Amino acid sequence: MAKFMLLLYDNGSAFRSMSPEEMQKATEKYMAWTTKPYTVDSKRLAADPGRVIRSHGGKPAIKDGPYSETKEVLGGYYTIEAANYDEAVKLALEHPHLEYGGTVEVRHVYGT
Amino acid sequence: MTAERGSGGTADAGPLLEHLFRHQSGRMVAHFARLLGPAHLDLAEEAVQEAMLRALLTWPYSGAPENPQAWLFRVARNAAIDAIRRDRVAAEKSETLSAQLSGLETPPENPEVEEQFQDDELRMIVMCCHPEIPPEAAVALSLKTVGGFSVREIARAFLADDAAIAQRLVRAKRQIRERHLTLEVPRGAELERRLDSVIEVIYCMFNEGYTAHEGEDLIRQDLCEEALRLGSLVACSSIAAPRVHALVALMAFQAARLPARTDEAGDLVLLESQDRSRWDRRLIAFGFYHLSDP
Repeated sequence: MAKFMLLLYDNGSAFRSMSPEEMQKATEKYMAWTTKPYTVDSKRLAADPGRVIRSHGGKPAIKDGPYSETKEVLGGYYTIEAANYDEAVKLALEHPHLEYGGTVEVRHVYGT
Repeated sequence: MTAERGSGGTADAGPLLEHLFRHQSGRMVAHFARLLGPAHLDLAEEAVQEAMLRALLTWPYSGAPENPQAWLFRVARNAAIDAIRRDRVAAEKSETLSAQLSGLETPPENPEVEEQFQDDELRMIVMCCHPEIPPEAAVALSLKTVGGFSVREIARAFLADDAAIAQRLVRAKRQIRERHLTLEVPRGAELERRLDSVIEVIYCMFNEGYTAHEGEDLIRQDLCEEALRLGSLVACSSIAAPRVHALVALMAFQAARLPARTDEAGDLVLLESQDRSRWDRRLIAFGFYHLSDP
């Protein structure tokens, strides 16, 4: 079956002001996604800004991640199996990340 | 580093223990506040909040660790150590405090440490109910510190606005600092007086959840549960007195009727028309246990 990556972006603000009880509820909702029958992988990306390497006139220029300007950070991803984009999007619409104000980018893993 | 999931199956993605984060927050705040001194209550709260946030950022992808309590405790302890060093809190003591914190054992694995945690919670309630702190503020402070409730949750339960509750907490914490309140449990006549205010505050908390009919039912029920939990904690401690057991019994009997108190439309059902089969038998038994001079 085709694989799709759900790239989870957020600006972190939704979680900062939550109570412990609300944090637990959110954690449970997200965790449930790691065991869904269609989930094949899930990874969190480190909270540091990362590095971006760009080519400038043929020479690589290394910079800290692009996050200083963009508000939303790629926090992690889930890889799911779905028949096509329609189904992948339909599944992604159920992801709690949207409930907490985040953005989910759905990408087809080419060749799967 | 590989994800914990799939590398031995230690991680768990099932639902966590009910109110785990809330209860752990409360007891960890109490524990760190004893170590750092109640004047640094804010630091303790921030370290604990940081641990919860870290869990929220990592467990969604890797599942919960095998021992969530110990994980949270370690992360909170490290956050507290970082904060002590960064903010140079109590500069002269910061090295000692860091060393003390680093040497702490994680709670649920060791029964002695578990006992210590309960003792810390008890001390915290007893301090929050100091007569210098007005009862309304003491309720909010207990909910925030030992209870692990947020300002917004307390505000919702009291049908007050967030700013008013936040203000109440700020004032209560100022009292703690200015009057140098400690987490020592008083003795003799002073203990008797303190127990009176502990009982008053816990009953006030319960009543707040029980009487008002409007507002969000769920948070009000949580308030009743918390009052019952704190009452039981005091009743099971060395400072218990018959009137503490009486309070717990009273709250248990009243709470037992909560499920029968509203009909499907959410309207109040008076005692004589309540469906008694919906009363909580376990709570009734719990009430009788405390009434029977345990």
